[in-house]
Amino acid sequence: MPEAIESVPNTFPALFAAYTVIWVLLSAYIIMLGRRIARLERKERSGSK
Amino acid sequence: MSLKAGLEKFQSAIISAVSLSVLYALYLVFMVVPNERVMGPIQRIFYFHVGSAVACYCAAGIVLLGSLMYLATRNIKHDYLSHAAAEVGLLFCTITLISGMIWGKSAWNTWFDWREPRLVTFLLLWIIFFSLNLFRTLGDPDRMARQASALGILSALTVPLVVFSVKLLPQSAQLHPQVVENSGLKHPTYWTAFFLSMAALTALQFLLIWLRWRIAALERTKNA
Repeated sequence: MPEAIESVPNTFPALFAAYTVIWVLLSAYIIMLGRRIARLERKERSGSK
Repeated sequence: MSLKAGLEKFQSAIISAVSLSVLYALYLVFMVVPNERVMGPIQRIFYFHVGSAVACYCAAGIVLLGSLMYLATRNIKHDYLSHAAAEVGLLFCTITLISGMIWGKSAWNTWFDWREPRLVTFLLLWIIFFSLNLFRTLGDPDRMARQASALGILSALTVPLVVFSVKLLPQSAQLHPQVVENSGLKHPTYWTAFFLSMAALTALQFLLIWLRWRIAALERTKNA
């Protein structure tokens, strides 16, 4: 086995933690925006009836 | 086809294109780019960490634009743009800060170093973005627009400080790597993943600002 591969530190848990944080934050914000848009569209539809 | 239906189709196409570009960037980061020799898998944070930082700087630029336009014209729509960009800027600023801290813990064995100029100036930018968003929740948005614009201009002025903070001190006195400046990305796939992640996150940032701006404008119309 090449030396470079043997000496690579096991940093997968930190990598997993970082991308989990990134996706939780992005998803939460996108869901929040989606809900607000859906609520406004519902109001718009009920207002136009 | 009506104008509204056309706009909705266009919006769906943009959302699909941005989603696909983010997914493709993720594919490159996790499936194509090889492990970095010294740091190992943790180096893969770099692509979304730097991409989020660039998205955050772009958001600060839009905050500046919206704030200056509001102060010049007093048109509340420009304040909505500044408000939307400040919210999205805080999101990407938080992502950059947290992913950077996780990387720092792995690479430097510390979450945060108060002697490190880029970390401290970036934290300052986060505090300004956070204050700006907090300030807007405190009272009537129309009355607060002028003060929020001033704070928005301050947030944008902090960006050059963050970018050039690493130039103020010699490299030996810093922890933060200057990977791009030192041409540290040797493998060609590193560059592809780097530029694609940056472009995808910046596009996502523009999309989120646009959607947030639309919400603010629609809410205003409903409440009027």
